[in-house]
Amino acid sequence: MADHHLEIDNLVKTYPGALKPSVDRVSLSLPRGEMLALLGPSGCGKTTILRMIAGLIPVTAGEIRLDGRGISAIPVHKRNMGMVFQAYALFPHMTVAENIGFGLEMRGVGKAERTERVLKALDLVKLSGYGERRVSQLSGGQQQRAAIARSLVIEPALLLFDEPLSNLDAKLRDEMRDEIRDIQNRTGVTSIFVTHDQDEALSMADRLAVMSEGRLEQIGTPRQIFDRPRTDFVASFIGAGSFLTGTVVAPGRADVPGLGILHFTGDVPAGGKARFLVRPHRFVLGEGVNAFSGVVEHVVYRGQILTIAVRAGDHRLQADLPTHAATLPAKGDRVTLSVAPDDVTLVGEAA
Amino acid sequence: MKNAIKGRKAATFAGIVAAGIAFLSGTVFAQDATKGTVNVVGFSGVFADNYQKFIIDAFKAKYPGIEVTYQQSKNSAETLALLTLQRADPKVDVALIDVSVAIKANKEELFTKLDAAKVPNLADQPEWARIDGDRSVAFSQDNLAILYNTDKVKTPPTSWADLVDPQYKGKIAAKLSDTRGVILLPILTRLKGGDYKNSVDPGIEFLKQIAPSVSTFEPAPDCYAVVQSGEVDLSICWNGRAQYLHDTQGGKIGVALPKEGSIGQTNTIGLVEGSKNKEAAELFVNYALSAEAQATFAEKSFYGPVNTKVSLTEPVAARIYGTKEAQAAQSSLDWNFVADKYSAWIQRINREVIAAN
Amino acid sequence: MAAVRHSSSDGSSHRGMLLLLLLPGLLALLTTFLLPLIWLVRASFASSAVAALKGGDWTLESYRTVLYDPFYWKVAWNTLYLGVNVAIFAVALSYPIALFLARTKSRWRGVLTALAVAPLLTSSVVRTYGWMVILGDRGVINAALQSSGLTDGVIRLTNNYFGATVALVEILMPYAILAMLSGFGRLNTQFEEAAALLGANRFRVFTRIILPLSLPGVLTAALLVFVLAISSFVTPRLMGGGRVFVIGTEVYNEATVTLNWPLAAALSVLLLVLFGSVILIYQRAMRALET
Repeated sequence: MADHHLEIDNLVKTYPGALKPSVDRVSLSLPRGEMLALLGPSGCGKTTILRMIAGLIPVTAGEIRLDGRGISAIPVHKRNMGMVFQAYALFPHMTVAENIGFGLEMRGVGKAERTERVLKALDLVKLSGYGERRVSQLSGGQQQRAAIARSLVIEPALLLFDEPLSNLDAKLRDEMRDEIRDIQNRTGVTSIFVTHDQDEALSMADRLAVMSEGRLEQIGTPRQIFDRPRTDFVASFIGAGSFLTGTVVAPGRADVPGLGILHFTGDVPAGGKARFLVRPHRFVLGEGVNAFSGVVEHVVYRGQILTIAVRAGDHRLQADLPTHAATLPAKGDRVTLSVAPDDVTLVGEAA
Repeated sequence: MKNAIKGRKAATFAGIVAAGIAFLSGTVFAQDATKGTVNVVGFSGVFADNYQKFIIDAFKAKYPGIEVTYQQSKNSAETLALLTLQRADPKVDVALIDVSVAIKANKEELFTKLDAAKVPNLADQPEWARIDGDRSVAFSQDNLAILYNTDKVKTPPTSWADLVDPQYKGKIAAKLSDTRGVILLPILTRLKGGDYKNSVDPGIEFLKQIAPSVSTFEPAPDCYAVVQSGEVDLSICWNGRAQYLHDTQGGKIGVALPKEGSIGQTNTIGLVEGSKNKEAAELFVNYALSAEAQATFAEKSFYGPVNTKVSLTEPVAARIYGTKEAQAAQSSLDWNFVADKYSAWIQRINREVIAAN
Repeated sequence: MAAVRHSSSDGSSHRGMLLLLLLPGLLALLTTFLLPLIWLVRASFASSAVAALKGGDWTLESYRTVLYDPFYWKVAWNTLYLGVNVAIFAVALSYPIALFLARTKSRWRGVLTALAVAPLLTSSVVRTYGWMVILGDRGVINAALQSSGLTDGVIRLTNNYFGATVALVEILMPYAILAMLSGFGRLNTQFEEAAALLGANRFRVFTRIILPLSLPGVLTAALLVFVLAISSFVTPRLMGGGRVFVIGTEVYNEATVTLNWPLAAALSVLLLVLFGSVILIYQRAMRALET
């Protein structure tokens, strides 16, 4: 087990007076250098786990181990973890340099060394020259970077992020996402970040842990989560899609009531019930193996794609179509959508 | 028969009218003064009750045609302000105020010189009481006394010098930075054989000796309550109210009028300059200064009278002045002199006596 | 979607409307505050109480007294000394309470805050009397000290500066708490968490984060308490036993006993000047902290 940097073993958190635990026996482990995303809707317990790892909240049951050693008994200020808060929490009464150097100061690092390391940290986050500014003089993105620098300069065992991109506007978000990823790669520090935004999770993380109501629903690489969701929740939380339930009549063929025969790739014994998900971008206009006709009920033009909702049989199918065609389907048109059997996602089956 | 009744009715009616005319003409002076209003402003509290009962009501009995209103004022300073502001159009006719404030008011000519012909009782007042050429006349003196708590003090003090007795250390309440201090200085100066008109240094020295025994120079809520409650053993306070409280509050407050005699806080009565009811007001002032009114008021309020023709019964005199020895030692002040020195003496008391303790 | 129109013509009538709404308040302020203040300053240049009422003459006599008489220097010094003492103790005692109230997540927070401020519901005169009872020679504290054998005789706890200070501190504490609570805006548990994660133990979180960030609130509270203390008159008078000579008591004495209204007015102006100076110092300090 020594190659796992961080281990969470059956972690439980129940707040006094609560009926259900906020975190319900969650276990996972991180190898060194990995960037893990804790993803889920608000209230799912992801932030609670983060704060327990940081030591800000006491653990009700279970263990947290760093390099094999339990850390639940270690007080916050001795855990040597860096945390970037959602609102950055930069100390308003100090300059940027003083903020970044604070952790070093607390560790008794001498002034000369401190100054040097702070300058290096400023460099790393591309804030060179901003050391003497006051926090209020920085923009949102700059504050974000200063917060990251402050956490990194102490060379923490773990780097924790609480909703790192949610305070930024769209353009800044893309920029910071790349930067954070870049910094994490370069420094190789094991990181965990918490987010409710699936785009953020998919684009930044090495692995995702999807959570719902205190429980870990599924953990895997972004591809695994997206293509092979194990539960309905994970499937619908990561990306949209049309859910279909059917009875398997023959290998690779299921009868979906109200729609027709669905051809899929996957090993499900005949007679069994199966749950399918078709991602909107997998549908194409026109005939094919799985062709379903229907009337367009709703059209949303999104620039690069056209999202349409088609009523085929008893089902409402959602499709994202490219917009380069000369004519695009309009509301009320009769269209045929088809999807390749390989592109039909089987929900619940392990990869 | 009807005519006869009518006739008798007419005769009765005529008779009544005739009698009325006769009555009115009989009591009418040159300006019809028996009818009118007098507006008086004076002190509040028990003083007001007593004044209403024993002076105003008695006056109204004598002059039923004159309406008298009494407006209560919190203190002489307030009355002075009132008179100053109403100067152009006075709404009060008679004012009762402390002598030192009266002297200030007379500098501003707020009171009229009283006409000895209209106010014959002026002749019965002693010289010192006729102030600023009869613009203000003293009508009562409230002696300064030593109050003691009858539960805790078994042998009451008999002399002003008892104040330095070590048995009272830390148990005396003495408000000195007002008229009380101003009156105490001449008393103590005379005790030490001095004359206040030359210098009050002996009085100041004596106060400095008393000061260490004083627990508070600002008894709250007043110098009577602290004795009543037993918070202090002795208090230097005014006799009139103390006697009243002694009678009404279960005798907890004992009053000692020292044998060396006392001096009284003096109140004056004045006729407001420009009064709209001058004639009625003159009648009122005359009555208020009469021996009859003064005697009654003294008996009921324990304020010393000023009218020389007043003779008090022994028990009443004892409660106002103390023993025969004290009565003989009773004195009064040259108020014009004292009014001049008022703030200077208080300043000395503040700085040399209180601030040092 | 209802459109809210703000055309340029609406803008000026908007401002006119604003002025109209402010008018009653401004008038009230003018008559109850500004006009009496102007009269007061005018009165300080008069020669006597009656002259002050009539508004006739002009003299610098009162100011000469206030500025050259050593007694009034002592009075001014006493006032400042009392103010500083009361401010220091009131703020020091209120700080932990205010800090607790600002940071607690307990559901009793509102109730506790109300309790801390509740003494303001009682008149300060009543509370002063309460202190006279507690600190008096036959009061609770002396009785407890004597019965427990710690002291022999009576300790003079009231009718002096000590009593006045203690009572003023307690009376003004709710103001300090309120001022600090509103001034603790910058305080946020996230800063404390961030500092802790960076390696600060509880003591250092307090000295490096909480204390500096709460300083604006502390300064505001100190200013408020100081200003209220130097203008106080009832408590020094009742608790001071006539021995406490501060500007408030002297103004009262000159106004009601010696009837030297111009002097009372001049002393009041002195107090105003003290206010002004202290506020200037405060503003400087706040600006320095503002960054």
